[in-house]
Amino acid sequence: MSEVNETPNVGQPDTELEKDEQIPPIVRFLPLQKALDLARANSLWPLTFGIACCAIEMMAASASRYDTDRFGAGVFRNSPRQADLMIVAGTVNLKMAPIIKRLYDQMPSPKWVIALGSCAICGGPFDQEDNYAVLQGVEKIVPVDVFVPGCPPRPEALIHAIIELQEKIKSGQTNAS
Amino acid sequence: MPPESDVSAAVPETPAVSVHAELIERLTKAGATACADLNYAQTGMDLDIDVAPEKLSGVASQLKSEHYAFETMVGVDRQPGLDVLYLFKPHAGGPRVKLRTTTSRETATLPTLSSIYAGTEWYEREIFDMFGITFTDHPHPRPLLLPHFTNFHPLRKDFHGAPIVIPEDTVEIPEIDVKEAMKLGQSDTPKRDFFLNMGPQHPSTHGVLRILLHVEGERVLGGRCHLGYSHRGTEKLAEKRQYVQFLPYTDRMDYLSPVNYNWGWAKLLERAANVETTPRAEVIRVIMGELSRVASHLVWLGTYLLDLGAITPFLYCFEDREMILTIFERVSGQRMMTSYIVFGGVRNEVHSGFVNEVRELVKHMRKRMPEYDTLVMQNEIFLMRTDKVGPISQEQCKEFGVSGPCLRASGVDYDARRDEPYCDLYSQLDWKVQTEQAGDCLARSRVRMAEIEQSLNLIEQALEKLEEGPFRAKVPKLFKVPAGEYYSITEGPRGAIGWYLIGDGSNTPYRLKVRVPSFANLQVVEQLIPGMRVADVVSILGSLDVVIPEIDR
Repeated sequence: MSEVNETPNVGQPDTELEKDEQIPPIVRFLPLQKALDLARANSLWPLTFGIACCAIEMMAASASRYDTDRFGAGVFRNSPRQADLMIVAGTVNLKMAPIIKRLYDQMPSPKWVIALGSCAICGGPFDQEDNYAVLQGVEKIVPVDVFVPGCPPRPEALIHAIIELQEKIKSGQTNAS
Repeated sequence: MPPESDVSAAVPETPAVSVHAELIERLTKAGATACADLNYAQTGMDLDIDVAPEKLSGVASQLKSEHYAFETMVGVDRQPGLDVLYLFKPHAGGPRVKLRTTTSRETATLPTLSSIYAGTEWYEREIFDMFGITFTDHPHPRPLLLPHFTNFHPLRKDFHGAPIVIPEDTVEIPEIDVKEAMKLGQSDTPKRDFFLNMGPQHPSTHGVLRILLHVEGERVLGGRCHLGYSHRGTEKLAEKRQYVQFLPYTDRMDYLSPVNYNWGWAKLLERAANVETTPRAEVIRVIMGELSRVASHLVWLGTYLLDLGAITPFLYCFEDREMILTIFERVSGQRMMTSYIVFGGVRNEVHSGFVNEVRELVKHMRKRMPEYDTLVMQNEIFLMRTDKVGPISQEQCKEFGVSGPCLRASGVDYDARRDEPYCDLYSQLDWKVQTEQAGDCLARSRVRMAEIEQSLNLIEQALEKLEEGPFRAKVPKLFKVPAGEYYSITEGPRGAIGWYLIGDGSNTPYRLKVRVPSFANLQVVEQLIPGMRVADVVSILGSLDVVIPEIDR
């Protein structure tokens, strides 16, 4: 738990030299990168991973009335290896935290995280000094791109978050590499 | 100050000869030391029995021979002693018996009852987590809810906070205890056996349940559930919250039927404070509670079929559920976490179009039910996946304290709405408790589908009884519960929700224990899956309709 807020550099050259000097790529295809970002933004594959109450609203968002498929984010994958968007929907406790970290590490880059609901943001109603079990925000273990407030947030809020994330991806402003 | 451990002292004029004299005599013969009658209307229990730890198994055996079903176990830190309470009640009707046994803080050891009532196994593990009481000869002495590296017991009164710190070297999932897991195997010489880790991230575990399966090819030899991935310390939080402040937490325990949880909490406080609700509030409660039940069963139907490989019913069910949630939102302002049923009545008046909207919904659902019947319940693949899969026997129901549709599917005619008079209105309406005999996944599914129909009947009749009047009785905004012990049970979509409250006269609970239906229902799984195929495990799990945060609390 000591190394919090650190983006794991999965898929990058891992030598100390390159990490320290931050050498940019020699050839950069900007139009290609933009095209890739556009494609990625419009075909997000979320991980099927409900923890608590917010998961039901996540399911509602993907079901008939709200239909996240309209925004290209409806293909829920059961394996982290096929997903590029993790929606942390619910209370993360300290027994669960290492597993979420591992799931995040198993997802291929580039990948993004939405913290859905108060619990995932800061512990929510379980946010307090004397709660022994709950992690006070999922941001402490994985880098979060979009926070969605609410307890639980409405499906529209999740759709809004997905649109926000798409904008971020298109403009290259996300945490993920 | 520790509370008075017995409320019966405050009951005026306890009859000299108990109405349960014969039972008391038999239990005294089996080893009970002190027996006292409790006032059911006030405490929700009938008989209070003290037992010394060494006589515990004798008394429990006696109760078992008289067909008493296990309900729940409650640990209490009485400062300095540690108490463990056991609640039993026969399904066929009879007194609710509370066994009480005590151990000291230093020894903190009690005999296990798991050889007599198998359902106590998980409760004992939970009490070990929370109070540090060791149960001798326990078949599986491992932590249940807390991580294995926890070194404190949170529900002891001298524990004040300090979150769990994950040790540096255990940031991974704890290794499978192979030696322990080997014990699960049924076959003596498994040749190509291996362990399959199902969950916590698995689409069909309905949350964050982890099952460690011991399999040989496709055949399951045994399995163990690992819980606690959604443990939020709600019972400890309750001790730091005022009675009115705890209401929103009840929503979040079972998020599929928050109204029924609100109802249970409100009913418990009304029982403790001796407050009557208004007739209009009762009617609104029944309507909202039954709507919540329908919504919950719809989620079950959709997700269960998703587990079995059918996607279309999910889209149908969620659309129907959205209509119910729309009504909830108009009534209470929130789609899911309504916090609508409060102490003394309901929180606010229903909106003007409420009656028409509910009528429209019932009409719509009545049109949909035949569709579900032909689309799902008569579907050949569905029948093959559920028929004769995972039958629960009546004996198992008694031992584990199974309740709700899972109990009724095994042919036990018990429904808290009828058998625990927590709402008078139910006895005035025309409805029937739905039972099936087979006890398998198909029977459980049929019971739930029949319950949706019954709920629609109840809603229609309740709408007729909705008359003008106050929606909430005159109650103080802040109040204190008199010292004593109270138990209240309500019927949620998953089964009987029991609330055990120990008040000490202040405005916060001294101890609150919630007996959640999913906890007992899930525990049977370990007995059902040996010999099944892996795909059947998914089918059984789905048919039990468990909600994991409710189990973990």
